[in-house]
Amino acid sequence: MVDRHAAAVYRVALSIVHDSSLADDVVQETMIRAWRRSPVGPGEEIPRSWLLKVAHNAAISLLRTRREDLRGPDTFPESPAEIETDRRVEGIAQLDELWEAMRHLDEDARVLIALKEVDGLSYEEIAETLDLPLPTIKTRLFRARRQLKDALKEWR
Amino acid sequence: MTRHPSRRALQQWLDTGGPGRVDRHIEGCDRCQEELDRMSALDETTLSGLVAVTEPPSDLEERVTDGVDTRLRDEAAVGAFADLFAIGWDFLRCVIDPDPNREAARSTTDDTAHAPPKSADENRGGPR
Repeated sequence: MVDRHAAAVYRVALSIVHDSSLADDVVQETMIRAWRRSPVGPGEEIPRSWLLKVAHNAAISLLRTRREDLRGPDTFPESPAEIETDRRVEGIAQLDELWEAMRHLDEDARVLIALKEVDGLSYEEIAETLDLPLPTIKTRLFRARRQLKDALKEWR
Repeated sequence: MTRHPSRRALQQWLDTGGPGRVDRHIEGCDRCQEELDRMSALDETTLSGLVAVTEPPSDLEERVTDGVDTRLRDEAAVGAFADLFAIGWDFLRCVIDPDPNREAARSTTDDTAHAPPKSADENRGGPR
């Protein structure tokens, strides 16, 4: 379960908590909750949307408990702490701009973009994950993309 | 609204979220949703950038597996300690603060074993 889903869970967590070490904590918490309360029998595949819903709830819950300690939007990390991609010099600036744009989106928009554009979930899976009607998911995602494009223009 | 909004109206909705009649139409119209999906799609550069900025650390799986193991082990240890503590506490309570009923029962047994039989009048008198 960890090797199949950890990366997707991490991205959802990061889009909510903005901090790689907190995202790590969320991944751990999600795996423990999934292990304890799995909706399927032993040996069966846990549905990805169920696991991501657990991750979403765990991240929000963690954020609530740490809200007072968390830094404000002005002091969010300048970039994810441990981006381990092969960055060429010219790519760094672009990624920084993208990260800046992402961190200025609202939480819903970031989660939707992470689920759809990065993890590649279907609209139906996202609706199940976030417990929202399908049309709402679609319209929010379209607007989230638009917000991201605007933010990128602003940061370029 | 029975007619589909123009592309310009859809663009305006993307930009501003309004007007309300377009918003309501879009909520229930698959065709306009598909059109908006195309209009708002992110380019390849942005998509690959998104993957990069949300990339988990390469040792994530290892760290998570270790963290989960440690946490489950710690919780099991705390549970075992709590069980031991509960047993110890019960034992101490028996030693320090024995059950008064049991003590009374024992003294009654002792009395009846060693004392001479009471008369009927004494028995009627109850506890002193």
